[in-house]
Amino acid sequence: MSYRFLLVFLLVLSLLLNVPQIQRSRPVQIIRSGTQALFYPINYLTASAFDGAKFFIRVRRVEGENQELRLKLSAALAEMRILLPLKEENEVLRRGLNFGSAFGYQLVPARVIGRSGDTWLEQVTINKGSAHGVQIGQTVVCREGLVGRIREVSRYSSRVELLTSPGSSIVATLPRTQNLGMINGGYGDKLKLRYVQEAASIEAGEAVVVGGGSQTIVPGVPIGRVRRVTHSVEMLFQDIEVAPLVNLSKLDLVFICKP
Amino acid sequence: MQALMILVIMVLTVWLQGVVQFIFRPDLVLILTVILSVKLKKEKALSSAFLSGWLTDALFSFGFVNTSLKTLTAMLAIFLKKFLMWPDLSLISFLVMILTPLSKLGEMLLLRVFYSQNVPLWPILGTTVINLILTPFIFYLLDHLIKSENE
Repeated sequence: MSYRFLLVFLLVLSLLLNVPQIQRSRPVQIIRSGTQALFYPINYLTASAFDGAKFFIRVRRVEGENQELRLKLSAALAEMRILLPLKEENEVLRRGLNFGSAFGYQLVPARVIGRSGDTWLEQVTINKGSAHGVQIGQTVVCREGLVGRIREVSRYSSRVELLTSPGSSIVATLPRTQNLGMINGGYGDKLKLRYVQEAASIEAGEAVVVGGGSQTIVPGVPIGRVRRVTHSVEMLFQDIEVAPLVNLSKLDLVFICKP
Repeated sequence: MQALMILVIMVLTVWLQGVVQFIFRPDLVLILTVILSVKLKKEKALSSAFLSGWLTDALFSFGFVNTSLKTLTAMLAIFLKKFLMWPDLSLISFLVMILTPLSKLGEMLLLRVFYSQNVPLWPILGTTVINLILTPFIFYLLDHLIKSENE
């Protein structure tokens, strides 16, 4: 076959193949479909190989992302563990600041660093001392209310006599009726309000706060709530049991009221 | 053996052209057509060009534009090589440089005439440049596989 004949034949044929009527003719369709069928396995295999490669790459990427996210999650959890106590502490300090400003005192935050088993509800040691301006007799409060007062001061620590201590005796008042009394410890985790006259109308649940007559304790600081009132005809005064507002067994952060 | 090798290379090239997605699509089949036109006898080169164009169209295209264009490209390459007594690589590079834009313009023309489609002009330059960059690599790759049959 001469080159010229082949050239003309192939050129004409290729151009004719583009004519829509010829393109849609049965022989052309059959040849085209035949070619596609012939190459289908190659196409299928290569497409599968490509898909497999893409899948592998995607899995590797997802694996990497997963590892990265795990690390981030661990870091976030660790950060959260650090931040949660800080958040709580922040809240306590905020409340403390409001509390202090309400009574016109400067509050010095302190942490409970020690308490003895045999004097569990009597005294605690805090990490602030004379170096921080702490003095004997200063009131110690926490966010719920009165904790006690400073009994001993050293350079960097102090000892706080708790409300529930047997030696604790604080002038208290009942704001509803303005009756005065004396809050005494030495009754476990409870307090006794003494010297309230028999005629006074005291109800359970009533608030008890530090009385105005107190020389050392900041007046108005909440102490507790009346739990039970016992009347006796033989006695001049009522027997009033008071539950402290502060859970003195779980003290952590306290504030010293500096005038 | 040579024919089988050419067929395998052709199928691979058509497959690469159809399957692999490039940013600037090189016309690998055109490069192969030019190389075969320079290295093979003209009848074989023309038939190979027609076949590679046909394969491209049958497998990855809807019309038969590539069949016409690759046949025309081979025809022009065979015609021009008679006047240019250059080393193979220079000749092939030169032919790729002028035949790539011509082929693309022909593609535009055929698509407009037969299929009423408008193809943008801007890829012509990109395809020509990338074809020129790839030509030496493809040439050295195929030079060992395809023996020259020049008369």
